[in-house]
Amino acid sequence: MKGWKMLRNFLTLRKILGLFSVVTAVLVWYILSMVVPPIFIPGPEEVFKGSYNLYKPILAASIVSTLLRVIVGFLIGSILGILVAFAMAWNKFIQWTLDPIIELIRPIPVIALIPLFILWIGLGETPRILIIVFASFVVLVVSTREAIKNVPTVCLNAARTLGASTKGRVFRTIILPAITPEIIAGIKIAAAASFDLAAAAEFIGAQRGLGYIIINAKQFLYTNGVIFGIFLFSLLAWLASLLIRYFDRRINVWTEREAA
Amino acid sequence: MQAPSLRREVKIKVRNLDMVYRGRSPQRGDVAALQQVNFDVYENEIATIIGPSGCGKTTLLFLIAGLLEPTDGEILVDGERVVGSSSQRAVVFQQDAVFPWLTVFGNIEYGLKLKGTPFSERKKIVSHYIDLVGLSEFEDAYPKELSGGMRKRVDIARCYAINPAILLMDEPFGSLDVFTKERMQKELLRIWRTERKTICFVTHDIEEALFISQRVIILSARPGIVRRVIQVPFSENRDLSLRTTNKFQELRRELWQEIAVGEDAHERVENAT
Repeated sequence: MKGWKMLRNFLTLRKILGLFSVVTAVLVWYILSMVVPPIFIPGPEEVFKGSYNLYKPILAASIVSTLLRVIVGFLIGSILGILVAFAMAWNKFIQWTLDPIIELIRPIPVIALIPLFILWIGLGETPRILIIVFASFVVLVVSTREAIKNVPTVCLNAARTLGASTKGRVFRTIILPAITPEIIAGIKIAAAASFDLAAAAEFIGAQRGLGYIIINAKQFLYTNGVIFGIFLFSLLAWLASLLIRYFDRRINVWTEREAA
Repeated sequence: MQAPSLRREVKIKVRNLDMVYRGRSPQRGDVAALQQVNFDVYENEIATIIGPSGCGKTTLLFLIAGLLEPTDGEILVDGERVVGSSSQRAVVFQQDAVFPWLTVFGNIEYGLKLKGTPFSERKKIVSHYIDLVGLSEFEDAYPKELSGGMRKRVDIARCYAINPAILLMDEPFGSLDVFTKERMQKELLRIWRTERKTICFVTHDIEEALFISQRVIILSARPGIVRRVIQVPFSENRDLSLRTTNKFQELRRELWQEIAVGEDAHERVENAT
C-alpha cells in the first residue's frame, strides 16, 4: 500500500503530461527523419552517436573554450554593470554623466557590434569576449539601476529613523538586500544572452568552441554535427540557468513568488 | 482618573512651525502645508494629531522625525533641536515598512545591529519585544507569511527595541480592516501600559484618537494650524466597550463638529475667493 501511495505521489498528472509531450516530440522527430532526407533531418541516433564519435577528440576542448568565453565575459560584464549602477545611485553627478551614455548604448543590437570589434581589435579571443562583456554589462547596469530606483521610499525612511545614519549603511542594509531578486533576474538574462553571443562570435573565425563545431559541420553539409552543436549549446545554457536558479532559491527565500 | 498632564514634563515642543512646499513650476505656486503650529507633547503620554485629509498631519510627523526640514520655526525633543533623522525618533509608517528580506527576528534586530549592540544582548532584547507584541511563534517567519496586523506588530516591536526617546506613528492602522484595527489599538495601549513611551500618533479616525490618547490635537484644513487641544478624560485601562459609553459618544460628536465645521468654513472661504 505504501509503495502504491509513493508511486501516486510521484506520478502526478502534471509529470505524466510533461513526459508525454517530450516522448511525443522525440517520436515525431524520429518519424520525420525516416521520411525527410537525412541532410535536412537526421535521426536522433545518428545525431548523437555519429557526432559524438566524430567529435570525441575535440569535444572536451570545445566545451571548455566556449564555457571560458561565456564565464569570463559574463563575469566581467555583470560585475562592471552592477558596480556602475551602484556608483550612479551613490552619486548624482556620476548618474547625470552616465545616464545619457547608457540610454545611448542600450538599444544597440549587440551582434551588430561583432564586425566593428573585429575591425578594431582583429580576429582573436578579445573581440569575442568583449561582445559578451558588453551584453552582460548593459543588461545588469539597466536592471540594477531600475531596481535601485524601485526600492520603496518607506523602507529607506524606516532605515533612517532606525539608525541607518550614513549612505553606506543604507546601501548595505537596505538597497543591496532589497534588490537581490532583480539582480539575479538580470543575471539570468545576461547568462542566456552570453551563450547566444558566444555562438554568434564563434561563427566568425574561431578555431575552437561549440560554435566552431556548428559552422564547420555546416561547411561539410554534416547536419548531424550542426544539430549536435546546437544541442550542446542549449545543454550548457540550461545547466547554467539551473545553477542560477539554485542560488536564487537559496538567497531569495523572502520574495512573494508562487512555488512553480 | 484625570490625566495629570500639567505636572508632566514636556517631551516634544513644536514652536511656530511653518512648512511651505515650493511649487515645481511658477504656475503651480507654493503650497503652505503648516502655518504657525505650536503644541507640546508630554512625557509618556499618547497624543494624537487629528485633522481632515491634506491638513499636513503626515508632514508634521515627518518634520518631528527629521525626515523633512521646516521652512520656519523649530521642534525640540528633550530640549534639543531636531536636525535630520535619528534613532531617537522612531517612526511607524502608514505603509508597510517591515523589511521583507528579513525575518521577524531580523527586523526587530535591525536597529540594534546598527547601534552595535552585542549579539547576546540583542537576542535578549529582541525576544523580549517579540513576546511583548505576541509573535513568539513567528520569530523565524518572513513578512510574506504574516498578516497585515502581525506586520504592524513587528514594526512596533522594531521601534520599541531601539528604545527611542519618542515614538511617532503615522496612521499606522489605516490600512487594516476594522476588527484588526480595533485589536491593534487595544494592543498598542497594552504595550504602552507595559512600557511607557511618549507617542505622537497621527490619524483621521476620531474614535481611534479618543480611544488611544490622553490628548487630541486638532489641526485645521490646509494650511494646518492647531485649532484646539482636547483632554481625553478616560482612565488608562480602556476597553473596547468604552466606545459605546455616552461620554465617549459625546466627545466624539464634539470632535466631529470641530473638524467638520472647520472643513465647512474652509470650503466657504475657498468658494468665495
